[in-house]
Amino acid sequence: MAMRSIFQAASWLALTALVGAPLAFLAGRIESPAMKTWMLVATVAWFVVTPLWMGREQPDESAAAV
Amino acid sequence: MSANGEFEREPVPESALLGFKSFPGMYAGEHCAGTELMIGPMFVTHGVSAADLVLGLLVGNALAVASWMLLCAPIAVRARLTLYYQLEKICGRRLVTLYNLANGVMFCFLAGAMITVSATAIGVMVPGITMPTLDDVYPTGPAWIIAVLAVGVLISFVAAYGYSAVSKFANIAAPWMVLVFLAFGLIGLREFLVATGADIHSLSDLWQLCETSIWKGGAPLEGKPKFNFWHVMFFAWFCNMAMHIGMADLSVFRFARRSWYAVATSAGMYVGHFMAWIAASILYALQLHRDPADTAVVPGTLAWTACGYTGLICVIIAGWTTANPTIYRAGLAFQAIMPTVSRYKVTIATGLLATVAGMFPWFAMQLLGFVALYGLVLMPMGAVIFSDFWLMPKLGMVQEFARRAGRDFNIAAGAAWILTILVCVGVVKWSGRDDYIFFASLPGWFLATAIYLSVSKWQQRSASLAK
Repeated sequence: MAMRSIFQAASWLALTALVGAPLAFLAGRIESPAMKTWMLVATVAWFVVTPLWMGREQPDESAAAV
Repeated sequence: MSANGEFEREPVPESALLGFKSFPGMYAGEHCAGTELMIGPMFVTHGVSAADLVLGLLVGNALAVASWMLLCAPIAVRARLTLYYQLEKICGRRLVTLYNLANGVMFCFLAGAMITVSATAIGVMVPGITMPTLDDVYPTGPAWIIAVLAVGVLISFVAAYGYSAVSKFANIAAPWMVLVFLAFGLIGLREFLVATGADIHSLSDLWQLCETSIWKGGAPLEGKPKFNFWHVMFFAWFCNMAMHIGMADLSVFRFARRSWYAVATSAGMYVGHFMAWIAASILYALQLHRDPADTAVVPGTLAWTACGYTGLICVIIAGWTTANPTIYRAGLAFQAIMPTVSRYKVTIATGLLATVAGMFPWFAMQLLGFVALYGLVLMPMGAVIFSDFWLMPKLGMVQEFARRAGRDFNIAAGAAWILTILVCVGVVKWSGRDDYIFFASLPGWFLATAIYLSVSKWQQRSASLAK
């Protein structure tokens, strides 16, 4: 369960970076090349981490306790 | 939910019903597709103004959601049957076969447009591929054909052998894809600020930029009819007409506990058909602002210019994940006509047909008109189901005529379907205004209802009916 939470947090972080980079670009805080790099890194992170938890059955806690 | 063939010929049991949270995510993902990158820019090519676009999309999408909630879902949660089984009981097996054929062909061309969109991303990465322009009908050259073939064959085999794996992948990609579409809009807006030198301090400043630089509402591009509020509103309402008024989503909402769950479709409408269309149209307006002669609508180039590799990945995935179920559904529709041929062979053949369609940029470049035609062709059967379910008992007529009379072709439903299409398309052609196809479906629905009820009245006088 702890690993699942860590993966979920990483996924949310990736999505935050994905939308944060263009928001920073809109605000004039970063330039286009840096924004594109951040978006690509966030994209890779999302597709690497998310399959590790999304769509997978959660372990049965009662079974795990045994 | 229905792809695995569960409860194809029986009502969904209580134990298989789903809660509300199963629906919003599905609709948000499904309606944020590669084709949104074609549709958004089309509004700009038709010279739509900012107010007409925003208001038209707000109202049209609200009407689409209302259509799901008031027409489709109430029948779905009462009958709990698939569209095809419900139609079979009303229309008979032979008429449903014809409907499947029309449905399959339409799905094929739609999937072809999705393959075209994905191939434009390949075109950005591989030099030597001539990208299609707005007025292109035929393939632009051998390199374009090879690019479409590569994408189409891959999608076809995956649809045949790895459908469920791609469905899982689509679920994973959906939240990411929605945010990339949002990023398209944010980046386009920033680029507009830089290109125009505009200074934004308030919403009123932003609206002024929209009115004066993005959706100027001036003359449309050459050869395109001018669009106003009504075009946008009716397009937004009817672009998924086959699903709500046409009742295709009976197959989805038969799993819903309550009919109000159809409000979940607003996630698809306001994410995909509002935010994504607006974002894509900003990118295209920016392209025109920079070079008014560059009128080509090439999703790959638009996405690449805005977001680099992330944009290209989005175009490929958006086209792929939506073409995959479309080809699969088209394959199922065709397989119903040829039940002895294996689903794999039918799906691959269907995918190859879609690939050939995708080589012709016309389907993608004329997507607005094609989508309106798609809705119009499948809509009359929705009117037949609505009349059969709600109106026939009130008028003293029997429901599910084909089943009760043991017929395999219900003449009333066939007449309602064919005559409505002929009259609507005939009126549009007679008017000489192809854009009137957006408006034909509304009177068409009443026409289909009237034909079905009146022919049924005549038909049921002489028929001997089982209970």
